[in-house]
Amino acid sequence: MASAIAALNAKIRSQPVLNYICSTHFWGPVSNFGIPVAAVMDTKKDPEIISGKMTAALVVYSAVFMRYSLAVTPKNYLLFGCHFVNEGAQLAQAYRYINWWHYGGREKALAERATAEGAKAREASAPVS
Amino acid sequence: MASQPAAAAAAKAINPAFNPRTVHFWAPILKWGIVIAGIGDFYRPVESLSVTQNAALLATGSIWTRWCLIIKPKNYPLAAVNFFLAGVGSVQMGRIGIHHWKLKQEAGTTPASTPSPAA
Repeated sequence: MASAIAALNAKIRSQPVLNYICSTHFWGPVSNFGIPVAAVMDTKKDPEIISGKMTAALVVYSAVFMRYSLAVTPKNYLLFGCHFVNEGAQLAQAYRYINWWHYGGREKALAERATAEGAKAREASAPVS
Repeated sequence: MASQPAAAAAAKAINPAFNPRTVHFWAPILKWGIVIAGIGDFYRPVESLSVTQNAALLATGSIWTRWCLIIKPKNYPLAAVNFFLAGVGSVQMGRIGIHHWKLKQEAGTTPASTPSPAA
């Protein structure tokens, strides 16, 4: 059993592409992509759910790890890409957060929602033509 | 002092870049913030926990722990952080699992022949 595993491992390590795909250099960043994907999906959602603190922390975190991924040997471009995307998504969320809470975005959205509901109510109560 | 050159040699062997002027130093420190946030979540009610998020923490934590030991320079502090992150993920998943098991027991779908010892 052990020799079968050793033989399989030797086969994997001898082939550069297979060796890469069967390594943490690949699966680390692949599993890490969950964070940027979640962040990008969140850019389409209500700004109320954005956590200002977490977004600020992730902006710093992804910047540092963008640098770290290129400072180690072997350089991990996949991890760099993952944190690059996350940095962009977190900055977008930070913009949406600041716009929502400090530049009148929330007030504007609430006003629009009120006018939309008012129009709907008028339509509902209007006599059928 | 006789121990100083030995200590310096040991430090050099482990990671010459591990000083506050490099990213190898700051990366693990930043990641502890995530672990601390995760530990804070231990006090949140079980119903509000996300299985996928904690499974992701467990998976990424374990994978990164291994990765930190095969890169150059090896980063033991970062490996330790990721190990704890995997620990946080598994504790949370354990809490969720126990909660669901308890719900099943109460619903009567699991025949509870013996009383649960941890109750």
